[in-house]
Amino acid sequence: MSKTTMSEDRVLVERFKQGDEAAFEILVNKYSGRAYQIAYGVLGSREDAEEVAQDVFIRIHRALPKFRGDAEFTTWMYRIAMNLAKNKYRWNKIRGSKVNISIDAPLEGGGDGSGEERRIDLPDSRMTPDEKSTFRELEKSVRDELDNLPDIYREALVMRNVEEMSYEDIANALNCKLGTIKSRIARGREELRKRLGL
Amino acid sequence: MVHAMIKNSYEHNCPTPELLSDFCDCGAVDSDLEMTAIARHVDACDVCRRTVEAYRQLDRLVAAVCKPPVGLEKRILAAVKASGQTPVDSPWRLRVFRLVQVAAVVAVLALAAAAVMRYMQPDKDVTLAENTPEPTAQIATVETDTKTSPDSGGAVAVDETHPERLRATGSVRGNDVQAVGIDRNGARAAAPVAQYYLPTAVRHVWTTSDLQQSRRLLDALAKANNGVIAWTDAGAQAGSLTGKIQLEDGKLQALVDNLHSRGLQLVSPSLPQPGTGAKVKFTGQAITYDLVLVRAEQ
Ligand SMILES: [Zn+2]
Repeated sequence: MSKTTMSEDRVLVERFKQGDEAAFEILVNKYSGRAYQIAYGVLGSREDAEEVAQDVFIRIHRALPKFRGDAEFTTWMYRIAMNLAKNKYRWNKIRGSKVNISIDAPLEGGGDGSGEERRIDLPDSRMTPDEKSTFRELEKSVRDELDNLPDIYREALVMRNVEEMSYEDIANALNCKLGTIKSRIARGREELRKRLGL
Repeated sequence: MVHAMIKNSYEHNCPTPELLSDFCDCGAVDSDLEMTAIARHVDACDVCRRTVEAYRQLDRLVAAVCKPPVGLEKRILAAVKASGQTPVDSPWRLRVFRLVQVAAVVAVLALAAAAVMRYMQPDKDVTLAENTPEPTAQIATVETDTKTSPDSGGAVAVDETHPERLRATGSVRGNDVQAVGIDRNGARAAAPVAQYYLPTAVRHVWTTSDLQQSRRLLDALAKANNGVIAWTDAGAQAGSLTGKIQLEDGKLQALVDNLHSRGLQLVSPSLPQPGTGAKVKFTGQAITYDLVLVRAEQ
């Protein structure tokens, strides 16, 4: 997290406290993706991650007037995202195992609605069509394997890929020592590599 | 470092997977010296080079997999607006203020009562006053879209030429559908203590084995709450029904619990969920409830 970003965030928080809703929108545009990714890491479900991401900013909107500038906005946001995601995780566990409901409704426009549009952004525009399709296949396997990975490895691996989230940030959000995070990322990578036969 | 290398492999003298992983995240290796040593080794060792390449490829893949969905920001802002929250401390201040008011009124009443009519019971006033619903906060109603725009994460593209058809099929969106817990009783297990407010507009998709029977059930439940469900049943033959009703938040929770207990399956992840009464903070506000009944596959 750069110093500029920190002070930018402070200015935005101050502006919001003075009643400027646009400042809040900027914070949402800037950080909603990270909140989503943190939740995805914990939950391994895109639908749940989106619900949590929405909840994170509802909470932030409510609590921001009381937010003191001495903590970084991102640190605070990571922690809220982490706590809400963990709550949701526990709640899912209480509700029992999952089944997929098949819905007998005609869907116009096609698509399963679970994320086709998420993949509009190509991983690398320089790839040939063949490479892209291989990447797509791999991406699907990674998604499946990632969802089945032990939680602590998935959390660490996904957070490792959250933009601008440092090892320190991850350790902070997961409330672990730096060494623990390093080793979870390493084991997560190794486990995933083995499962995918890479 | 040298120790770690030896520990891992006596044949190749390779760094441990953990060191290779740190090496991929340059900054994670403790010293430049170590970094250089690993780089040299990786350059010379096929096994380790393949591992490092695999880790880097995995990083790209994981990044692609956890890319946030398109339109997330918009939906978050809509949810924030719909939640219509005044800052979090306000309800508490209101409540404290209210309690102080109540206490003052009760004190006066009690004094008067004690002086004039000794047999009166001021406790009763306290109970009544505390049960008075809190004033409903001013909440902006956000129409959660029946007209799902392509970028709002919906599963259904809007067919402008057949809007009625869209309404009939209820525009089932990606987020309307989720994996559902099998355990009916499990849903009633202890809820998290966190308190949520319901948004002013809630949209739920329910599956049912019998559309018309469920419709009659809903009509009866609505009537019991002095409400009427406005149905759009053009899509009944296509296997779905769409209805709309205005309800107080607490009654909506009761309705959801009731439908669940009668065997309907809620597939939308949004609150209120069956059994979440303890999780939700009810204010008595009116909620526009859009519901879509979908015939489940047998
Ligand atoms: Zn080697």
